[in-house]
Amino acid sequence: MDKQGKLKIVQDNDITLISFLDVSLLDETSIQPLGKQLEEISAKENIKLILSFRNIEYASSAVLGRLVKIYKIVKANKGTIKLCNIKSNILSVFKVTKLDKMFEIHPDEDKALKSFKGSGSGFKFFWQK
Amino acid sequence: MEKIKIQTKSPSQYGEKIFTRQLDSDLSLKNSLIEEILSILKARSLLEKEEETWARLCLDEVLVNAIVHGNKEDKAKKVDVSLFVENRLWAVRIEDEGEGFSEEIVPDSECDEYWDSEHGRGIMLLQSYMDEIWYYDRGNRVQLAKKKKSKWEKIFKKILFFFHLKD
Repeated sequence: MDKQGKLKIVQDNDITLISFLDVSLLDETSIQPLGKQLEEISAKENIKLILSFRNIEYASSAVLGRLVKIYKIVKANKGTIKLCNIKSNILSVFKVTKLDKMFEIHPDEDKALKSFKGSGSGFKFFWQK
Repeated sequence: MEKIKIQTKSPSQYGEKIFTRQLDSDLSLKNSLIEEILSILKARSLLEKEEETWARLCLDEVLVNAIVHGNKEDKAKKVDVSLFVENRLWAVRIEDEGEGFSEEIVPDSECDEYWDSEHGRGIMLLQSYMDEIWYYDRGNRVQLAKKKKSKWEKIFKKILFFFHLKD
């Protein structure tokens, strides 16, 4: 059986940084409870959200669909979402499914935080191979 | 990318059949089967380390489709999975007991609506990695096949990727 993952939520002033704990393989089963929690957090008005994939080694298409849903919830509530720490194998999946054009992606949490605080470049990660 | 079609003919049968497994329609059973298939492919040098994510994605995609969309997670319904190998190719056949699907429900990545769609990306992943995606019967059966790349094909692919011409 796959281990049940958790979300780690850190608040840095008005920025919410979320990462995944106790899970490295995100698929149809493991994303269900986490996705629901993420959707609830994403619905907060004007949220500044960073979703870190630090511990994630694999993400299935069910996860990509869930990310699109979260993106739409954030946008509908006038928030901003940025992704970071995406491993190259997952990034290539983002590229094929064009999610790299939907999301602002940063190499690490620090750069994602700085981009919200105005001192980061905010450029997309897809060219930084 | 081409739209997915449901073929009227059965696909070619490749090489040696390694196994047929019958799964209950239970998502918690899929990952151990995927691991088993990946281990066999690696042991036979049919899968490079850097391809593992892609092979896992494609197997995951067709198994989830069969269990969730085909059999509606009805545990009385089974999913049959067969693995075939040749010297330079591997193939899987997945068969569920569902009603199949309509070609029309697969989103077109060239359309604006695609951007908002939460579904359909799995098909793009299959099309990106697999050499053959053969849906047949009423769409409740699929064969995926992947050829092992030659040394020169791998070098060429790396050069294309380097120059950002992969797409």
